[in-house]
Amino acid sequence: MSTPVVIPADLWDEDDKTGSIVLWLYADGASVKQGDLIAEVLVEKVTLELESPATGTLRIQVEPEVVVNKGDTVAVIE
Amino acid sequence: MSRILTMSRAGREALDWEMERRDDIFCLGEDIYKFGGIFGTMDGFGAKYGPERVISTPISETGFIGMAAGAAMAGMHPVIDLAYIDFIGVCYNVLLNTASKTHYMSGGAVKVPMTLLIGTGGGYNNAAQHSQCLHATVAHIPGAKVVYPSNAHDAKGMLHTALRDENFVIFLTHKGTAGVGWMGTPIKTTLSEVPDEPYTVPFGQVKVYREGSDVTITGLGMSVHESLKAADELAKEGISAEVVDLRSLVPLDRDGIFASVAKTGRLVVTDEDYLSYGVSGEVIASVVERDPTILKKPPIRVTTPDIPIPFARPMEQSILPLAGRIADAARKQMA
Repeated sequence: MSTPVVIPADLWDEDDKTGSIVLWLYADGASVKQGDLIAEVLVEKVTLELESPATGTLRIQVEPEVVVNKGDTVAVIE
Repeated sequence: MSRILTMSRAGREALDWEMERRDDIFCLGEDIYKFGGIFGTMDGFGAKYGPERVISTPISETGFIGMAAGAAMAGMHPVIDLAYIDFIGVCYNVLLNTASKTHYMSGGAVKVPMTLLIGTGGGYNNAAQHSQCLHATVAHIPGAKVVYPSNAHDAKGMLHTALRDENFVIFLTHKGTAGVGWMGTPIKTTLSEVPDEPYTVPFGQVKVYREGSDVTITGLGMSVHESLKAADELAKEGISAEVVDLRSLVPLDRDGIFASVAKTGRLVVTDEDYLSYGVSGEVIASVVERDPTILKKPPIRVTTPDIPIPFARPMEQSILPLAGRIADAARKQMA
């Protein structure tokens, strides 16, 4: 079973703004726990935090500096 | 368990850990209560520790640095966020004559445990009054310790060490290395795996970032990362560069610098501070005062020249000690 890591709709206010991953706090394939801070997301020079939705193995799908939108899947927790 | 952290997060973790356990620590600075300071070092601390321990000050460095020194003498350990070192002039008397001298002048009776956090450096078009390094200006003062981590692991360990020091520590961070959003994507070599647990990194020891045999390149703050880039380029040409991070200016690990140059016989000193009367000359003196015969070539300094830092990006980029200039200096050493 795997859980997608999705950019939450309420992570930032304006729907027309895009963001980008600043860094992943864990390497691809690392073990993470539900609620762990796993990535920083930059929107308009403001750094926001992305938490792991599940406990398991992190599989990164979107690297830093790539544009992301609300609702995008950026990783999977296996 | 360890995570990959920015310097900003790593430093915040050390400060948070110490504040949770010690009532003597409190924070002072502009925009820290709600905003957490311009480098995010105290992000969330206002809500967590309240207005008595996280004090947002007016723009009056003279006043709040003096207040901090007094509080330190009375038994507290203030942590001051001074944002930019360009504004050190307005509080210099307290640094020069009070915080750094009282322990000595009281015969050891009065300690001044305070940690001054300061951002340094340029490279982001903020002009001559917001881009300076000036670390030599503070390292010149006897009585103060001055440290300058360049990566997240050292930032956490050295801040724990600073907060446990019995006297005045000036803790410098190059703005471009901090890993804060407004400076753009963090530089990869500033990020490190940082353990959850507290640990200390001692002051006064260089760190050999990358081993090499042909030429020693010393750096501090941002110039460490430019030196690493230069070393990558040089490796493609068959030149093996050793990159040494000074990490601590006071105390300075002269033995560590000498040991690297004794191995390679060649020295390129990088420093984003101004050329004259600075750390770069001090590094060279650390070698030649001991034994100039270990040098195969005269050392080369790659620094910011003695001019106000230009605002225009092409002009600023041309005067900073960036990887291209560092690699050229190393090639000259090998010629």
